[in-house]
Amino acid sequence: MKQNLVSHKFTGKVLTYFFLILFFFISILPIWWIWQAALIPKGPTNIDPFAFPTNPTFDNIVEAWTVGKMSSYMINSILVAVPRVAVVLFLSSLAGYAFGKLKFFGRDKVFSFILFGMMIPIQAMAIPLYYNIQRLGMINTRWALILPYFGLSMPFDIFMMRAFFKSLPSELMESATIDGCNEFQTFLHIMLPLTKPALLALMVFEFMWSWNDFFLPMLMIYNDEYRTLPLGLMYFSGRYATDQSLVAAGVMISTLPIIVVYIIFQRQFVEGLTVGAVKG
Amino acid sequence: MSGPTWRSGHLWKWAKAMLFILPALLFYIIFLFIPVCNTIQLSFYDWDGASSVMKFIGIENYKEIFMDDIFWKALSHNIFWIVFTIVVPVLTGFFLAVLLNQKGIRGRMLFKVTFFMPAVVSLVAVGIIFEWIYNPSFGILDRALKAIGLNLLALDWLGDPNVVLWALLIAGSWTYYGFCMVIYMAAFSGLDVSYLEVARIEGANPFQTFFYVVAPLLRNTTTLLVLNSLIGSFKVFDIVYVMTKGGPYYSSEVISTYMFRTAFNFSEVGKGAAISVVLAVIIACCSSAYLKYEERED
Repeated sequence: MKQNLVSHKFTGKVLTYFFLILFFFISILPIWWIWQAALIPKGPTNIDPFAFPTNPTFDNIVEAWTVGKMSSYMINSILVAVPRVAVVLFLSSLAGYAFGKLKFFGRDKVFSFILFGMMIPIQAMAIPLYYNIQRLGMINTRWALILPYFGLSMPFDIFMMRAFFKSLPSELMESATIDGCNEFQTFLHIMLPLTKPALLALMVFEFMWSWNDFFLPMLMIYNDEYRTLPLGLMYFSGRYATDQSLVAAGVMISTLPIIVVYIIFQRQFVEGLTVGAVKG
Repeated sequence: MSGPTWRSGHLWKWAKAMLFILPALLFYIIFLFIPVCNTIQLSFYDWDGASSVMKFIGIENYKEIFMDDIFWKALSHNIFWIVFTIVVPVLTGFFLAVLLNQKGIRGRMLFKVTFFMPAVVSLVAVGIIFEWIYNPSFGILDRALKAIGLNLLALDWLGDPNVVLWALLIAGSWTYYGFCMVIYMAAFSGLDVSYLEVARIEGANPFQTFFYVVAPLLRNTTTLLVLNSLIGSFKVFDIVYVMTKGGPYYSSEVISTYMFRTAFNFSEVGKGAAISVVLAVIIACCSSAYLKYEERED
């Protein structure tokens, strides 16, 4: 009987690790394949992109970076992400603080009005946004990818920041007021630093959304000069469809930064998600 | 006016609070609220996007959509997307969370981080990767199928109208099970272990413990994930657009690609707006159910 129980446990363990390792490979292999294909030298015939690169080369990556203009796409992605993330975080933490910690007339009504935006898919504003941006003369500029998000990101981000500010003790604000801080100083010097973990999580997510954004860039940018990585990569892979190593190099260049960011900030990714989705 | 008393102190306090929310509120109104209103307005007009004349045609655009076979086809694909997403990635995520939640699992963090990794890669890159995997000439999938003698199953996955949606769904699911797993793991760590203890003392077997104790406690998390999948599946665009653009012969068309094509490729802006409104109404219904549910939990 006891013998039976032990072997039963052992089989369970084996099965557990079998499935975990199976999904480990399912999760990692597709990315692995395309990264290693970037290292396969070009040959006279079509290469096998799934073969292990026996004599790896960085030529494809260099070519994709220079001739393929991946460098320009990457610069655009950075130039869009940095101001977008910075301003969005600033705006949403200001508003989140007011909704979470201040009492004022109409607070809950205004908050519901902003929450309404969370239910609206981007497709529902895409058409007017396009024509508004056109009217402003900002089609084919990076502004077209930054400015709309100051509004579009607000519902979710304010929702998150409000929840975080709400969880902080109000006594801190009172003592700050007694110490002679004005409203803004209390926010900036006392309350905001306490939301650092939340702010970091939100920053990481906003960065990822900006980095991977595809729909709005596709709408707003026709000029190759201003394309960000996902959009640039789509055109790049069409342009060099026959050169698989080069396409793979393009994919590698566009995915490597976000995977590095993910590995550095894995806690924020995994925990930020939990706070946002479970606790709301 | 009721509400604020017009004592200067209150008004001043109100004005100060307004300074905090006004910047966000303004951008929200300009870039979200007004465009949504404009979309609704546009949906009642016939407009090609360029000419200066917009003709008011009432609900003609809506009539046209509801009589369009492609709309219904696209909607049915969205619904199929929902069902598949709820069954495959949500269940897979649950299964992986159960496995990782066992006592004494080595490399838990490594597995967790790896399983979530597909979710951080851009869908354009995911599209390219899976186009390779599905490629009929050099793709690893067909080569593997042929190697084990299943030549019949070695299809042109993205070119065959009968299987293209399945192929897209597999690629889409690949980016989603990690998310479901993370959410379930968080739910597990929030479970009250005393319930499990009671179940053990009362002599429940693991099977009974799971179905009568754990599953009911996870109902909230599951509802949340189901609703999230519902909304996500109605919105799906990137992966379909990158891999098939809705083809071949509309066999992978979804509402978003149908709207994009109508408004920006065929320049039927009014009709495109009407499709967006229909989509937004469907999603708003699902989302308000979601938010109501969340509120009830608070």
